[in-house]
Amino acid sequence: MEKIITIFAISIFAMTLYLLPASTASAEDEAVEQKAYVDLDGDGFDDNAPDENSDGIPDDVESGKSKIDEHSFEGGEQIAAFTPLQDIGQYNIDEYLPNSEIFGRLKFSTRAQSSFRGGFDIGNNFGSETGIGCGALSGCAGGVCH
Amino acid sequence: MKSIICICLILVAISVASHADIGFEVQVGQSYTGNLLLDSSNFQDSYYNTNVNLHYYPFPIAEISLKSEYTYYGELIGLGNIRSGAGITLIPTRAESPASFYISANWEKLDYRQEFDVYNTNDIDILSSLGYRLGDKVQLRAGISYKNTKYINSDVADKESYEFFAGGNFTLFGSNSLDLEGGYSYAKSRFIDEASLNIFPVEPKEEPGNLKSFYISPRFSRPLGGKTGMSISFAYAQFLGDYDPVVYSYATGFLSPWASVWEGNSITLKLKSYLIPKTIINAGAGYWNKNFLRMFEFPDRVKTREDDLSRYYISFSWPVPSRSGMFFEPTLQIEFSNCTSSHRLYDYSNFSVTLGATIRK
Repeated sequence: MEKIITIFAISIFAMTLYLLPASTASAEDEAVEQKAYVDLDGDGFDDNAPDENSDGIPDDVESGKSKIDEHSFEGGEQIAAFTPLQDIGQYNIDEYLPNSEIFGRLKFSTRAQSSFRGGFDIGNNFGSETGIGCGALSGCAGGVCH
Repeated sequence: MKSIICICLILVAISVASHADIGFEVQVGQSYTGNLLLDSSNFQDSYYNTNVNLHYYPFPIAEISLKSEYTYYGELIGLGNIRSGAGITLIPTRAESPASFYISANWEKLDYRQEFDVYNTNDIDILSSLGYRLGDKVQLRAGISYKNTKYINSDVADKESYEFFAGGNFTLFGSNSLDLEGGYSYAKSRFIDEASLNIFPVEPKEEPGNLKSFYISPRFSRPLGGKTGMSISFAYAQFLGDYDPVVYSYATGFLSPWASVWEGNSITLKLKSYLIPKTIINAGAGYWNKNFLRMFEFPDRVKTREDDLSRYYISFSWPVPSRSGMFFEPTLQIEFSNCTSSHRLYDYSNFSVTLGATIRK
């Protein structure tokens, strides 16, 4: 009985959430050319959302602006969101970055293929993403998972 | 002595990382759990965890990692352990390229105190995968993983497994993401010879055997307003073939090499939110129906075990960046779980709290 209630509650909750609006998919957005929404890590947020200080909180959220605000028009001119320079003339910016930063970009580009959800340990990745104390919170204790 | 080593490693990590192209992550945590063994014993304990990771980047395409993790238990002191390891990750393709290749190899050694040293292991884990991006909205992936677990003081549960997976991620109708994944797993190990259980007095003998399994797992995710994201995942796993192995009962409980091996299904819902300023909130609810391998219990019984498990968690993190590029991130995590099982030993509930902090560069 408890099993049925749990499944039912999760399903109802998920359906309710689905009916809520997603701010990043509005008509205004589509009017402005931008990268498509991509969520390879499964957190519900656009993976390409800028996070200048790398604290895990997208810049849009920290500044209190939505993407719609960033692409609003004032005086007939579009206020473009800040984007880091990729190439300056004939120079390759990678030459000036430390190895760790270049590797970080490579790792980001392979985030969907660096782990998988199944196998004999299926379901063990449920839990908080912080990874602190691989104890009971992640289904593991003493280093071995349940 | 081990805590001194940990402190030394932390200091070395911080001082070395500040002068070279080296990254590090140091985590400390203190947890209380109302049911450490996750069974009907309801054994309460507190434990303390220190984790140090060092990352070195000799080339732009390579990362070399060293890790050390120490866990100390307040009541069940013998369970204290140190886990150390090393690994290398190579990504020889360009970030802008539609095709990507990923390979990682990790070695890990887990050492318990003398009381539990029968569970000391050496683990090797290799993962190789290919990804391909089709436009902005479709990304395909496939890979193979090899895992080898060797019990240093026992060979009863040594395990060697190969796991194949393939999947695709699709962006649908604006901000909706559908991720489909499936896979096949094959493991070689030693199981109990059932024929030996029919001879009195019972003296179980082991025999080599193969275990095969497959899974499918769709996941749907999308934002909910500007500050919250959600994902809902299903998973179905099933053993393949007629082989129905029997394992030792102690091996299906705490510290079990087989405790994470099951067939059945699950549904999980996860939420991530930035509704509170400067705070990352993660929350989740999940349900699992798990059928485990049959287990032999002394003196002469073979038992089955089917669990219905519900788990709920919420965590709060407060990342604080510094001008030097380092981060300090305190975290609070709370979890509740409840399990009803066909085996009375595994009827339990648990409440856990963890307070921790991460420093990383």
